[in-house]
Amino acid sequence: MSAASSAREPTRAVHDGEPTPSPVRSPFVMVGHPVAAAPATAADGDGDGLCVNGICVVPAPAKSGVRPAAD
Amino acid sequence: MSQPLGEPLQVEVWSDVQCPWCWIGRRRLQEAVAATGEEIELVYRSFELAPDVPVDYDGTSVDFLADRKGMPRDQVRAMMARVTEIAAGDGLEYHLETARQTNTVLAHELLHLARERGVQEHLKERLFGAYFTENRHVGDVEELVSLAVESGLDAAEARAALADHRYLPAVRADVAQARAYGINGVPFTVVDGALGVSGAQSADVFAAALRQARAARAGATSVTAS
Repeated sequence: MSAASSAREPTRAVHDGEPTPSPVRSPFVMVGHPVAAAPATAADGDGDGLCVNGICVVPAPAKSGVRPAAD
Repeated sequence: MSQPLGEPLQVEVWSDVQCPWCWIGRRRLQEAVAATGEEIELVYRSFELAPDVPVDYDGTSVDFLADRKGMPRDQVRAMMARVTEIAAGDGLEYHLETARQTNTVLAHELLHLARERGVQEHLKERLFGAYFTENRHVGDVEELVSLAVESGLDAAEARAALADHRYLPAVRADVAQARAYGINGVPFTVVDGALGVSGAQSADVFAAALRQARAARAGATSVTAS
């Protein structure tokens, strides 16, 4: 299944009055309202966390398919 | 989009078993399917929110977010309370504070086996319930085999697949595809390979995406026929 090929501007969202980058910079035509990416750590200090506003985000590229440790 | 007009819409959802919004999003997508009367072919793609957590992490999801991600516990509990309340509004029972944090790569491997056997949706639903409602250990092999059997899989086949990791490449491929698409949050829903819905949006939004995809097929058919 291939995605739409045209490049688009990254979706932006407004959260708590300030524009924040969306977690999505995708090749898709987005439907619905932009979902704000939540800062991943408390260091951001604005009350956001990993799973807010309808989405759970990862702070950085995750290692794919890492085997679980045995312990 | 070049799928046949009358065929089911192709829906792919990137999600993780421990993602509270993903179960909520699943309910809302189901509601949209019922409201529109659309037929869909649904595939769940793998996404790992915490691939570095050990399978036997000794703690709850509160511990994980507080200790590993540096979030104040009060903030974690407040976040969970909000999600729990929203989930209840969608008919889901969450016990997030006592959920057992683990590594979900084995669950994802099992979901790929389930897809091959035609029971992926059943297993996905079962995994969500096991984690969020029953607080079962969804990283443990025997727990996973038990859930697999409940979903119609053969115990021996499930255990063997989890032992030799035959579906790990498929999990990695899904994660890599998500990264290529720029997806770093879930749920992320793709309809007919062209329309995207980020997050657990309302059923109305999912319904709009389904209708838009169907209309696009009709438009493509019309153009082809003219």
